[in-house]
Amino acid sequence: MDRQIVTFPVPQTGKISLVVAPRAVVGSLMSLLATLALRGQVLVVDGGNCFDGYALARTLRLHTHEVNAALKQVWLSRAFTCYQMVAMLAELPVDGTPVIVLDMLSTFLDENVSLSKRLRLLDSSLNLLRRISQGAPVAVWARTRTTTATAEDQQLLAPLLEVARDIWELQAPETPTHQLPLF
Amino acid sequence: MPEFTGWLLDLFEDPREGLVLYFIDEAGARWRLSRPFPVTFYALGEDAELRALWQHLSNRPGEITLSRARRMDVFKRGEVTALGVTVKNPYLVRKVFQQTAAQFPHLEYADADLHISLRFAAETGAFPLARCRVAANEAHQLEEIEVLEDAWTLKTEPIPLRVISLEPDVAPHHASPRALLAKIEGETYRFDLRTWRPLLVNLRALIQRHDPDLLLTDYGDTWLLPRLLKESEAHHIPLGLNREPGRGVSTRAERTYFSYGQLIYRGQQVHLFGRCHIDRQNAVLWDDYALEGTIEVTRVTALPLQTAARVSPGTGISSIEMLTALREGILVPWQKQQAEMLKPAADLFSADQGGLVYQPKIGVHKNVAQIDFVSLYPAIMVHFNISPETILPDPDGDNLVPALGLAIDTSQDGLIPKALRPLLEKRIEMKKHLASTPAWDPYRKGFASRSSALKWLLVTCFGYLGYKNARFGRIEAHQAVTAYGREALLRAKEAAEDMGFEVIQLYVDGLWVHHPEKTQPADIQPLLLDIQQRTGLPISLDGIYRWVVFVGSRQNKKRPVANRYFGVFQDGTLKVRGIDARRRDSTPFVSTAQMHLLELLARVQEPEEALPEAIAFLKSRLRALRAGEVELTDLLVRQRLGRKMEAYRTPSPAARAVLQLNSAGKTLRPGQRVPFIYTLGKPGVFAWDLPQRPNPRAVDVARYQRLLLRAAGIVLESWGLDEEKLTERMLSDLSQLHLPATSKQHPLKHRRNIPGVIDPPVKRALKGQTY
Repeated sequence: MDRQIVTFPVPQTGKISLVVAPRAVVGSLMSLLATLALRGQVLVVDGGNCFDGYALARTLRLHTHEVNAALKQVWLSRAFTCYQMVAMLAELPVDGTPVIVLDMLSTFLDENVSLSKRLRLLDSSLNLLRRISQGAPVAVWARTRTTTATAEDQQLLAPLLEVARDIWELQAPETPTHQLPLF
Repeated sequence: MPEFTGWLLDLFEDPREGLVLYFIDEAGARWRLSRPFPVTFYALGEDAELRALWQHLSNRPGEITLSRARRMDVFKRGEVTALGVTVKNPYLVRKVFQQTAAQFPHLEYADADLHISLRFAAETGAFPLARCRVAANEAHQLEEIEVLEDAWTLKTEPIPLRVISLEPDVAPHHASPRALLAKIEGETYRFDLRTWRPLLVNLRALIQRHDPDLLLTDYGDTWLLPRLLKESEAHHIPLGLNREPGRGVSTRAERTYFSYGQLIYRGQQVHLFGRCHIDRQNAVLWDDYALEGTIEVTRVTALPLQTAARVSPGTGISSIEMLTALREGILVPWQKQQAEMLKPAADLFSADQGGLVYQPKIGVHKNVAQIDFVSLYPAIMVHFNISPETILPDPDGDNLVPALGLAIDTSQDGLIPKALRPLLEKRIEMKKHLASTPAWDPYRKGFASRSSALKWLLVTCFGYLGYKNARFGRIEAHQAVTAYGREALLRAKEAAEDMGFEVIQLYVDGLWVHHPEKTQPADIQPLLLDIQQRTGLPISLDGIYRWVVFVGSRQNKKRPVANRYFGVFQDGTLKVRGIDARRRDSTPFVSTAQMHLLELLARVQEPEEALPEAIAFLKSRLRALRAGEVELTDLLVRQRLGRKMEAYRTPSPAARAVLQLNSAGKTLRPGQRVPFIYTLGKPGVFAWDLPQRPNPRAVDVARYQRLLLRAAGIVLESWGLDEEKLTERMLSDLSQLHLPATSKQHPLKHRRNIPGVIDPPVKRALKGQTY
């Protein structure tokens, strides 16, 4: 997957939509966010400190002159630990407002917390997301790490894949290991 | 019944006696005392879960006492009800807590994993290395302890520490050491590492005779002590490294972590009981503040000496905050749950910013005053009462934070300002004291080290407010600090401009100003007073530069870069930031040459006068380089391994050096620095710690030449000699330079190896020369 914009369908109430992709997908997610922001309020939980406000503003500008008003529709909170992620999801209002969770698994890739504890906290987070998705559209982005991925990445991704109903898996193009023929 | 005045050296949990404490008596004796020391942790959550926990623990009456407590929770801004779990023996608290947390994972916990020295300091006021009056009973149980010098005392009695220094004759990662050097009271003993039995017997005798309080080692954590312990076991000769009988050493695993965007590596640690061990190579900031500074960190953080030597300043600040919380009856969360407030994305643009930077004007500026706020961010936290519990999401409240829509509750002192105030005041007092202490004063060096240790703690306290794992961190408080910082700097700029100064640069906490008629320190005083009045924050004059040069970025010379400058103050001292002379990854050959050039320029009234000497100096350095007269150690580059090896797509020079080491059976972890030399051919580097010696003829002279001329160009560019011109000028004189003797190799092969022929200008210069 290169940096071109992928258009994701707007998530639907009643199910969790999951995007599994490398970091380059942020631009596409900001486009999705812009679409939602033009319709009304949207909540963003950022687990990887990767929310790109400038990209969002640029996308909004293509659709409206009221960029600031649209930006005010996007409510954001960042989680830096898995404990914070759970606490934040528990505090989200369940009133039909769409929820986008960015780079959800980053906070769970924390070697200061035991894996069993992280899996338990992830389970709690997914239960909360499931509950929210009953009344509001929910989309989650799980970032794939290309060079530093470990077995833990897969272990943490598995429960997320289980709860998601729509899954988009995007891959970075493979880098050729040898020089391609020039002529 | 022992009664004495002395210093608390070490304290730790003991399975039988509760708490064991070691003291240095000022009369010379060493005391081992003990006392029971029950400790309490708290559980918080739903009543039903707390009840279940209470029932679960209530069948251990001899071991655990349970209570219903009301404690202050800063994140909930009020008192909360908690279940207090008091464990009679502090040795067991860790186990009890881990079992509890595993069985009741949905509860929150507080005061659960605090260092015993913090708990003891909170309860008695006595912290490690505190001078105290002590009374004990016949059974050597501590009965009374009175602190005679608190942690904020400026002039303290020197501690009569008995120190043995142990170091191998060569760094073990570089080559196999052959001898162990033991230094004590001016004597040096040399032990042969090939004959372990006599070494162990003699070392044990030395330790027994001198009974040191502190083992100061090189590579003690990562090589020496583990090796000594292994050989001691194999030869059945106990060394007596611990003072406490019956205890083994305590080891902590190596680790790599991120700090300020950099990977940091810390080797494994070896801690002793009853005496301390510090490995100078594994201690934090030892090069900066050494033992005096480490003692200062110990006192203000209340962490034991051997712990304080190895923790980052951030952990130090965290300890000070936790100690303040314990004293104030505030819960210290085990895992902080508090997340960022939900805020509109539009607000993030104004809130999520750092310090204010006003890019400098590139080039030479004369008579420029540098004015700095004194410990700006800590001063803001203290002055404006910024703490996690004082930030209110109230855009209509009083005491609004500039541009953030947040208000500050000033009705009572916040936890962070309470913790930082004495630290900040001590640092300011120490700075004043240092300024008035003459250079010949024997106490000056110690004061400078202590002052530096406090500086590092204060520098990190701001970052810790936003750090994810900080117990009392909160991102809004972090943002409020930078918002006040930007406002203060803007007001300072306005004050300067109102007085007719030209602002040359603003950089987070300092400003560089110029006024053609105000060139003496006394002329700047009115400006300082005005800024202090407008901001409420202390500010001081760093100095007035005779000249200062702001240099452009490496990629684009025309683009200014903040914090990359050099200049000479009116008293002749140099200040250098961001260029090779200050960078840890530059080679000594380049950094010392660059520094020498600066000294040449600083020595004369007009820097232009020094140019002929500067050029002559450069030529002599190039000549030495080409003649192979530069020590290989001066050509060493020390780069940090920035990631795991498998994460490199194109290996950096450091990664290539690590690959060489790997093939020689040596492993390095991300965050470790790798020394290497640039060499000709592939892989272009030679790892310094390889078993074989590097071939001096393989040194990539052309590369070092480039590095030298680039560094020289940065300094001399403002006087018309940039890298390009220097290269041309130096290489046009190449015929005068002595080239290495011809080798017996095939001429073509040899030609490829001639240092300096890679660059086209060098090729041009060499044209017509016979060799």
